[in-house]
Amino acid sequence: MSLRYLSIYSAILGIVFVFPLLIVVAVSLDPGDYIRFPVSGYSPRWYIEMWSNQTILLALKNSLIVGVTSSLIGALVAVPAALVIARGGRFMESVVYPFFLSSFTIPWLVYGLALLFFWGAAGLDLSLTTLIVGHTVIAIPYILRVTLAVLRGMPPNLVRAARICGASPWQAFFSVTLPYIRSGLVAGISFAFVVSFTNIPVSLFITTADNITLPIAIFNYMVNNFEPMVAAISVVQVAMIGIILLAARKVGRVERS
Amino acid sequence: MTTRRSVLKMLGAGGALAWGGGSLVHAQGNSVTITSLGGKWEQSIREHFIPLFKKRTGAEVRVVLGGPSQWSAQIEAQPNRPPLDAVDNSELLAIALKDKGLVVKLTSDKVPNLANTPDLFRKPFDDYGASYQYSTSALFRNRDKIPQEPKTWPEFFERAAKGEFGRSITLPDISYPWAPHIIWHFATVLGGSVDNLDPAFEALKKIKPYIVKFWSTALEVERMVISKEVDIGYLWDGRITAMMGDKNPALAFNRPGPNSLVTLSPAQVVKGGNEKLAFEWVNTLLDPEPQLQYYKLINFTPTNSKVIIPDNMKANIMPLSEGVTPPYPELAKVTSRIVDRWNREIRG
Amino acid sequence: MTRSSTDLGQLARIVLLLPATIIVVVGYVLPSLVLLALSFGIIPGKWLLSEATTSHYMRLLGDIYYLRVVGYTLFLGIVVSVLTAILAFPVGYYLARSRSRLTSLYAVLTFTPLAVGMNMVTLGWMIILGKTGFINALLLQTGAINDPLQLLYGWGAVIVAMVHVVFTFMVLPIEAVVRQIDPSLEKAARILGAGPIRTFVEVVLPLSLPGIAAGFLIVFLQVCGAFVLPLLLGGQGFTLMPIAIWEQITVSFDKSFAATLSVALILISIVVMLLQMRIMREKSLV
Repeated sequence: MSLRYLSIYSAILGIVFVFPLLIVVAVSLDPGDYIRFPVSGYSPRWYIEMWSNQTILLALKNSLIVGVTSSLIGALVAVPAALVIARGGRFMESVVYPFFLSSFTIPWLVYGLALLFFWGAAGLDLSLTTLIVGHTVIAIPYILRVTLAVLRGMPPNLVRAARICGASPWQAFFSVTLPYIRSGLVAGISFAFVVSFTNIPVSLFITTADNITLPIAIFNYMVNNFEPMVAAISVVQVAMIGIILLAARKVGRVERS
Repeated sequence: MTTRRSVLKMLGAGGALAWGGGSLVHAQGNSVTITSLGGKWEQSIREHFIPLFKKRTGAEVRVVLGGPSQWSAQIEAQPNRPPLDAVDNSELLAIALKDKGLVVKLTSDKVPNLANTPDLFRKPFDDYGASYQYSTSALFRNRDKIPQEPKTWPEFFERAAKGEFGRSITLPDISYPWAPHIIWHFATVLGGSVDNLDPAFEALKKIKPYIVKFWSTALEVERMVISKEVDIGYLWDGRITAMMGDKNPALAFNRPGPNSLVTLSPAQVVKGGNEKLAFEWVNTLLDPEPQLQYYKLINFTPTNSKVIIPDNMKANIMPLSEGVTPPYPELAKVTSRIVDRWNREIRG
Repeated sequence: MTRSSTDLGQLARIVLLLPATIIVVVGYVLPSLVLLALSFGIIPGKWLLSEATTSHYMRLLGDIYYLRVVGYTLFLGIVVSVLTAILAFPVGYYLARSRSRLTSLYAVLTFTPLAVGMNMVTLGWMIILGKTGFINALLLQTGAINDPLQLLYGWGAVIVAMVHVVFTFMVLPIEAVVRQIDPSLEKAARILGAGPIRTFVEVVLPLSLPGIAAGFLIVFLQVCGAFVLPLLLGGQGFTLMPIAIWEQITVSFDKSFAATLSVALILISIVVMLLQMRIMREKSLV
């Protein structure tokens, strides 16, 4: 395949996908009370109002905490599981793996409701912890799947060679396996982070005064008011995610010799 | 080895954030947890109601954003240690919480402003809730396209069914939580009742070809009004008057007769929460001073009879005698059937 | 075959699987059981007081409306997954293979839909597809049409915006898996006389199937769980499962029936997942 054609194709598709978002950026600069297009003018009004809105600031902080914590906990528990599953075995393939993926198959909206009732039945208070647990559960399959896809393509002889050369299982993992799965793992963690950071349905029913997240704040504004502020908050959300993903990409890039 | 270090660094960052998260949990003692819709509603709660409440009690206020179905679900899930002290409910859910014994009755000695709140806003809930604002059913219209306002609801349906407005109408969808109330109202003004909703469904079926979109959120209908995709449609009075003015000179509104549907947001005190402060909070919601500020921002009408509305804003207010509310307990029994019927007959 | 040097002991296996197992059981299995109980009319917290019933399931199976809702949801899930896979493969391949400095930029471009979230993608397309929106303005100005087209509120708008919103979910796994394919394999195929198409079909595609399959499943499930987008961009002719569930919760206040619809949706998802795993296993035998 000629990479040049692919580059042009990717660029065109990228532009098509970015276009609606540019419109959202334009709308976010509209000083009017309602979203309209073409915009009535340009001003930073809504960005300024946003920074004096305590709900938005709290939501931003919460989203960062929940996103980072849930995706990293997800990776910490999913990678060891992936190592075991990758060694194969009928039981792993047909029972253990589907079991870990099963949380994948619950609609988020419903999962939020299930969490709410379970938390109530267990007598626990809804908090940031509820959200972190919920988001970790949905993070695990993403990270597990991608990590496993890479692990399965890994020649088993690599680890075997390391062990024969005298490496401990830990050394073999950190010096052979981890570098090999790094790009896949970072992709999985990035997924999980963004999924958490943009998730509405899981959080919807378990939002309290303290644990509101950014997408919920946006959703609440959006269904109640057609104001340019929702566009402004979203622009900030994209910017934050962009920064974090770029950093993740740096970590995940495979060095070429 | 760079990998291990960067992974550790990221973990450290996550741990630090999680640690910071712990400090978010406040002490429950001198604070009250209340609810609010997002957007301008929250702005009003924070700017108009909370300062007054703080001045009177010195207590902290924590606001849970969202909507009535979410709040009610949270209260029902944890009846023994409710996550909310006061809730700003929808009518049917307010009745449901009352029937389940999850809310406390309001009395004039605990909520002095109740005395100045007319029966219409609290009797439907037997004083287990009192609304601090109301809005009424209304039609917005592009007066350049439709110069003559429909004087009554039957006239609106008749002209719409004839195709007089063209395909330029919007009405609420069944996914909008107040749709059952609206269908009840349509049925009654067209000769039906809570037990006979046929007239409403017949009328809706006839005008369905002229509907651009049944709206389910304010976002959709405000977008359609501002981009002029619809010429006429159903919306609450305050929302229409808030959009009127210099920027939308062609936008007009009227309340077709013979009467208007009134929607309420009954504020309730949750049993087992911080009841003392919750009563104070409901009293603040019913206070004339912040209610006036709320009206100026949002245009939904105050309920306290002591509120003095400025003369230039009086014209838009509906005389209470023209407002009706559905028989909530009966309506609650048929909402599920209304949803099914809408799905079959209107969505088809 | 001796596996002793790499194989894990029984104890090590259990220790490695334990953390994930605890989280999935507490965070997912138990809440799901509560949900399942609810779908049979058993109310959490009042286990002994409520009576089990299958009436909600009978209602679902006996109602052509809800069966149609299931059908629409499946249809949308498949259409969006297939379209996204076709559109995303070249991008994922390019991101994995190119050494251009621009790949970081492309990666950002393909990440944006996901990063901006469903709220804003929906809003963006609303503004573009509206009657006074960008596309209609363009068509009217060029004289291609005389009256604005009704582009919003139908399958078209939902599919376009949905493909947009899930695109990143497909690109990431494809990119990750193509990275693992040794580029010399393709070179070898070309040297042996295979054309670019044959190389793609016989070498690249089979090797990247795990990534495509992973993306396919994620996309399908995203579609099954989306409600903001179809609610705001969809028409009146078709209702999707998440919207039906939402209505049962917020309008009918019937949590039990909502739970029943949810269980049905979970079953659909599980069937799709098992099918996909089966297909993959057969492929890997070839």
